[in-house]
Amino acid sequence: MFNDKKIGSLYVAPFVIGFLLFTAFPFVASFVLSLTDAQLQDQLGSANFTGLQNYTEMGRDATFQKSLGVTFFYVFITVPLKLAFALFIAVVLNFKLRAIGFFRTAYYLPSILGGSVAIAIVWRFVFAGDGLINQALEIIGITGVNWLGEPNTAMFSIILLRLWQFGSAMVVFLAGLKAIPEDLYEAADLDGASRVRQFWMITLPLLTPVLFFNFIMQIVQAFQEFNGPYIITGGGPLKSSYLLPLMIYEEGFKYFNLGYSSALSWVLFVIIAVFTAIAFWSQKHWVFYAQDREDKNGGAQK
Amino acid sequence: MSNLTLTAARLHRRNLLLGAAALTGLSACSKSQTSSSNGGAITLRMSWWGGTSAHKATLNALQLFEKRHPHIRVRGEYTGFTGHLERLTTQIAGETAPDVMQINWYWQTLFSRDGEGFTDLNQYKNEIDFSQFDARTLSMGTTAGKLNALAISNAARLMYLNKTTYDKSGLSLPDTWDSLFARGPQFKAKLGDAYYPLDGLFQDFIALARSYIVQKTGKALVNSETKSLNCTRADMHEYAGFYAKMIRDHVWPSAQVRASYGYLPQQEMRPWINGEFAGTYQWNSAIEKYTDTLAGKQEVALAPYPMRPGATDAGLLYRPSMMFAVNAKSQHPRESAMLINFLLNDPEGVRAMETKRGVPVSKAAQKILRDDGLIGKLQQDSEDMLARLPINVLESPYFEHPRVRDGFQDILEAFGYGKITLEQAGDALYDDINAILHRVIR
Repeated sequence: MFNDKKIGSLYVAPFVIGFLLFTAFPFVASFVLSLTDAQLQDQLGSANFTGLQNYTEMGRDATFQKSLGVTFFYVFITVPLKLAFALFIAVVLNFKLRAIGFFRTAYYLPSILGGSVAIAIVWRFVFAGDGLINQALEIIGITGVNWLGEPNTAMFSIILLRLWQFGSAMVVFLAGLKAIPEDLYEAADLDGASRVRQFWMITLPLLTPVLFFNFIMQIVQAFQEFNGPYIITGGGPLKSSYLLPLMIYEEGFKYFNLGYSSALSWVLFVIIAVFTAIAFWSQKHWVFYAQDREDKNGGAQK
Repeated sequence: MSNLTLTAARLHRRNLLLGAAALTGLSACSKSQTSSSNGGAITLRMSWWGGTSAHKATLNALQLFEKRHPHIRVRGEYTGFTGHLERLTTQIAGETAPDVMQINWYWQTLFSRDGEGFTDLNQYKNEIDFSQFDARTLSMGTTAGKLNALAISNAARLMYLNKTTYDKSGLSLPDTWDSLFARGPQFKAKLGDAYYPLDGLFQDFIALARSYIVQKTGKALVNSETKSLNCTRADMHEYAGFYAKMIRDHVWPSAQVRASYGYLPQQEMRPWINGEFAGTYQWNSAIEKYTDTLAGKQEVALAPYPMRPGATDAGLLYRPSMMFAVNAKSQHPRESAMLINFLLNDPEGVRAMETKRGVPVSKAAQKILRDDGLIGKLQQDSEDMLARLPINVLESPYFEHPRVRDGFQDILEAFGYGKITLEQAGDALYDDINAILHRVIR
């Protein structure tokens, strides 16, 4: 009745159809839209082709420039801090401690809850002027801080929300740590290397492939942060937390500028692509793959 | 997949829906979906947004309508307000919009700039009793001579104050602008720093200050024809000064104070809930949403509307809060008109709908609900006040355009945070808002 080929096609059909419909088509459509003055409420047929006008418009759009600056600041602060923190916790949790399973679960929990709307709402409460943190500060006699009401601290609150979700990066680091052969450390011990030295000379180099992976994932995610600023600060005050994804959303669904909004998404896409490309290009300088060293003929770098 | 990618995916999916409908020709085959008839039976589709109680009341009314007209079925499509406009926009773009739609007044400028976007209800004088609506109401639904939409209820922003807090302070509700200004320092002295006589989001303040200026100029603030502000530069300096005074005198919480609670609606803010922010400048149709969240037994009262000496107009934003419109491509416009009349004028329909969408505009409906004792005190007070106040100026819908509103907000916020001087704020309000109006009015 069915030959293997047909059955195979049938099995992959849901993915292929879903991919074409929900990824490939919108991807192409958004690029086409970005070259028009399409408005959300109008018939698409009535949109005019405007070429690169939406893109050149960004050069004059002070809000876009502000948003771009804020986004870069957010990413450049968040990603290194989060990676460092995740690595630190992973190293600690790699020790043979009592109840280690409990701690690993506990530290991973925020990641499961992390991106959700509910947590962002909790975060808003924690950092509010009359929120948990200020209440606690008051108890010990310190005047509260207007976390969400001042541009610098508002951004800080949003960054902290992302840092708090270090669990998934941590788990990947933990897996990477487990994969490092014990005998390397034993040999280093015999040679009298300190723990710190062992970390820098053994752990970190052998962990670079995992670090590379986490770096890419975090960069991609950080550039797309939306829930935090949308729910906690609404992008304010003074647009201090107005990240690019929030601007894309508002241009499209608040101001109905589908064309400009699509153009902004493409700029964000290109930014993420460039950072990813730089990371891939640079990896030959800092990412250590064990099999490269074993390959005596060289040249076959990943 | 994280929520962020989900959000991005959702954005893309929206594009897709729009695109799919228009590009792949789905629209062609879905035209017949608007409504259907088989064997004499007609099925209408009607969409609306609202809360649970509004859903229940409307579904109940639709059942009664079906009982009255056994050959007509009505399928309700209802959601909350969030996302409703996006959904309707997609449907209209894809020509799959329902026969009867609940719309906002402002949406007429989105979907029917030339009056052709919806069915002209004037054609259905036999089905709808227009004598229950005054001329002003009908004009608010008319574009280019076509009656596009019929108001369900009217709404205006009025001043609602927390009487419990005012009683605690021993002060009376303000009845003039000057007494309102005076309440700031008085509240601070009698109740403490945390108490304010009035509060709201930037969008609420922007409307309040507009009223203050319109009372002076006697003209709408925005002129859609000239795509510009309908006032002088000096007026906008006065606008900025009004904000400065309200903040300086502790009448309205500063931008920093408000932002410290994060991004959330006023009625969900703790100081509103416990009565520290003792007032709101709010749509009468929405006020129950605000009184609902008050903690314990607190009472909200309608304050006398402040008028500038010599003002001939209250400067209210007064317009339909929700309207019914019929799809321009509906197969059954006559039956749709019958349904609208049933919901707005018919005793059975009116009793089923109650005041879930505010106090109805229809005179017949008002009488029925008043006789049944279904109109609450705050609602009745508001209706009475709106009947008394001079309201002749009709504001351009573009005043409420999100881009215009955000323009006002950005400037006031920058001033509030000390980034620009009062002088600069006044100039920016004039220059920047004019530029924005020029851009958004097409």
